[in-house]
Amino acid sequence: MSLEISISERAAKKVSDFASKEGLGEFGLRVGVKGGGCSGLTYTLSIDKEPLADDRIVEDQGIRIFIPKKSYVFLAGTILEYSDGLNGKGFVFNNPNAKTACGCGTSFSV
Amino acid sequence: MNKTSTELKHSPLLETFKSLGVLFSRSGEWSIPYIHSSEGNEYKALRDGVGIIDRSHWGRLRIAGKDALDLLNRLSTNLLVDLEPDKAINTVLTTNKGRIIDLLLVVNLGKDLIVITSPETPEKVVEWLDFYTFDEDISVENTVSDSIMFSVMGPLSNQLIESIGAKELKSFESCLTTLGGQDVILIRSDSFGIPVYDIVAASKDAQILWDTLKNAGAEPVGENALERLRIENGIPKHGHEIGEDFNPIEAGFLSSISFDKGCYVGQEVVLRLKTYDKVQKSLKHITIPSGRATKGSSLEFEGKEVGIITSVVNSPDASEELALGYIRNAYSENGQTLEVKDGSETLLVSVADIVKNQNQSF
Repeated sequence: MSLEISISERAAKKVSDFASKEGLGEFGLRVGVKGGGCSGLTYTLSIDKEPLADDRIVEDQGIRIFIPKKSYVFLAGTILEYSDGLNGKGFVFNNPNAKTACGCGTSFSV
Repeated sequence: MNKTSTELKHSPLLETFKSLGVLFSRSGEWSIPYIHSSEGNEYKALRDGVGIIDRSHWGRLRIAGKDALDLLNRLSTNLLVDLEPDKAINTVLTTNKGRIIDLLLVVNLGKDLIVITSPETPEKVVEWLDFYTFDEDISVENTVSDSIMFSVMGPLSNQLIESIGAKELKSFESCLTTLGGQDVILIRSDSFGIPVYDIVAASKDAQILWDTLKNAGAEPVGENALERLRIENGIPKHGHEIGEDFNPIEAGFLSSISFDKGCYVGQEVVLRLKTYDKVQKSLKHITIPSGRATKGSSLEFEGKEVGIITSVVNSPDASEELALGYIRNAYSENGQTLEVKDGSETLLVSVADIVKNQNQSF
């Protein structure tokens, strides 16, 4: 199992489409975790112009991904995917570290 | 806080109390006063007058940063994000399985928060907050070692507080004020089901504050009298009714839970327990006529275990004991008779609902 964080082709396209629609030039996708959600930890996702000093930077499918240092241990090996359609959940974190998840799947524990 | 030669922690007033003949007992890592003068008089002050008790062994955290309330809101049961300055609220820190870590009193001081924890848990709460802090702007400081906490307790608390120049507060209000010329944080917490003002101040001001309150007419009270009041009023205590064996609904913390605030750690379990009526047991009073049960004693019905005793206190004339215990719902009706084993003998005991009074704070 890879310990890198990766992004699926479909998720990468969604991110690029969003960035071009917003007219963003250089950007990175910031992925992280924060305390909360029913199971203890929940995912965060945002677009940032530049990485922060402590960020780990990964490039996959043409997308730069910024991961805060403390979040990295909870996300190692995660594949960011995108699920669309009427029942789609949007961006989905396929995280091998998650031992349990809450009912809606947005929160997890390790 | 200081340490004795036996390494037990104690209040800055240890020597003063010892010189007055106060009796001390061990409580976890602390040496605390259990009787000041007369347990009966001390108990009477809590019920009919006003007492002062040194609760410096209780946890106190100062939490600063713009994300402080938001993080606590994501980790505990009550709605905290709207907590206004000079207001306080009870909330339960829960595990992701919905079990109790501790009941917290969160006080918004305006520029930062003070969080009161049980005596056993400040370090645990600091670790818990640290684990869940990622990018948040928050700093947490355990202030037990350089501050004191005294509580003015009893029906005449308002009069005593006003007589020394502070203004009366309503339940769950707080303010920064001066008592006896010293800066204090004053919190009307009403913990223990009676009017209670908690006073948090710097350790160096302990003696002058204690003297001010005592000279104004507050009876010094030890842990024994407070423990009787606690059990009579059905107030859960850490290590007894509060801990990871129990969930906040069965502990009776309903008014410290927001059922519509959204996600927090443990929310899914707590909400499911309520929605599907899955709470298996509840906290009850148990009267034991001949007084031979202890914490941990099993409560049985026709030989089957249906509950456990968590706290016990003798009646003043030692004719019976009053206990708290968790009992399975099918056996917890008011007046239900259960059995407790004492050696080879079986004692019959009686179950009663805990009657919460208007000052109950959670």
